[in-house]
Amino acid sequence: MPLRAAELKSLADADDEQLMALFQNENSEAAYTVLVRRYKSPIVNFLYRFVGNYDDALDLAQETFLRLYKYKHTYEPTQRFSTWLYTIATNVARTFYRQRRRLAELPFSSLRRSEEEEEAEWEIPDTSYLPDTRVDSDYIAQRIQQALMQLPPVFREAVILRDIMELSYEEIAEATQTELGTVKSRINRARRRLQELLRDLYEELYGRVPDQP
Amino acid sequence: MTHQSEHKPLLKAFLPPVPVPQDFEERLWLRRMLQALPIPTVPDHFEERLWERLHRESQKAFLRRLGLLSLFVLALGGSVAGVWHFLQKSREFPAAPLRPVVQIEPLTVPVTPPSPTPSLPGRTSTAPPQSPAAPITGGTHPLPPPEE
Repeated sequence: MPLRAAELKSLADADDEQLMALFQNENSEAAYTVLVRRYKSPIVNFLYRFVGNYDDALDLAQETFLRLYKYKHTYEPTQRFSTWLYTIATNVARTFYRQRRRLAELPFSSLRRSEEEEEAEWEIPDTSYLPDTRVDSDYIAQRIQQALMQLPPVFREAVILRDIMELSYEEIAEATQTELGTVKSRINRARRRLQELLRDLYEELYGRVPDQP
Repeated sequence: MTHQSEHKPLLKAFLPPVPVPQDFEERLWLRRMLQALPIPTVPDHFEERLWERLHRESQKAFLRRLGLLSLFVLALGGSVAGVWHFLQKSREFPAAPLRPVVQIEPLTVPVTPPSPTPSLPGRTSTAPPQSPAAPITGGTHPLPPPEE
């Protein structure tokens, strides 16, 4: 059923939590549409940076908004809507990642690996579609995406949520259902790893980094 | 004010400058680059596809509910039929005590055995066996002579 433009316009100024209340209590599809329009770009961005494939990112973003529709009753009005939505997106991305890993896993390596071991596991980046390749100046962006894809998923999601999506540490802890200290540690380790992976690029641009004391 | 300015050089002397890591600029560059990553464009048909999927999901949910409902109705019908059958059976069972009760009156007169009915040729006797309770008092026919 097409929504009336006037209805959507009237909700344009409402904040996320008000829209969510409307959607929850009155099943307002207009409120849902406004939320989708507001968040589709950041969610696609987060998922693209996480999975490294544009089509997968779009599909997972749809799955995120489907879950928002289906599980709207689980949203607590005391929560921040954006954090709750990122929790859904993170879970969707993790499920996707687990399924993909299960497919690729050999039978003898089915033992659960620790975070340290996961860190050692580097994955081959999927560069089937990188919007960053559209212009030459985006070469840096492409290199950064490739470096991101080489991070273990738990580090990757933390650094994307912090440095790209600009969520606070507390919000990341809530969205990823992880301890605050663990979040901070993951972000630091992810940044260090990215630094190592992108050192040659930095040196290419700015010259050699002096050795650490 | 003069008091404060007098203490300033002293504090400075006691507090050594905090060292800045060598890779400070590199770290800053990395974070700047991460923030500056281009945001992928969302295609126009994104919402359209989303509504299509929502519609499909709701249809699927409806069919699932319908299937469950029909299963429930089927199970309910089966149970009702079972209960009805059981009730029918149990209604038939207590009918036995309702049969007419045969009253046995005490014997006041001597029972004379019935005269044997002449059997038809080629047919076996169908006379009912004599009741052992009835005393045999003899009859009109003499007993056969004892065998030697």
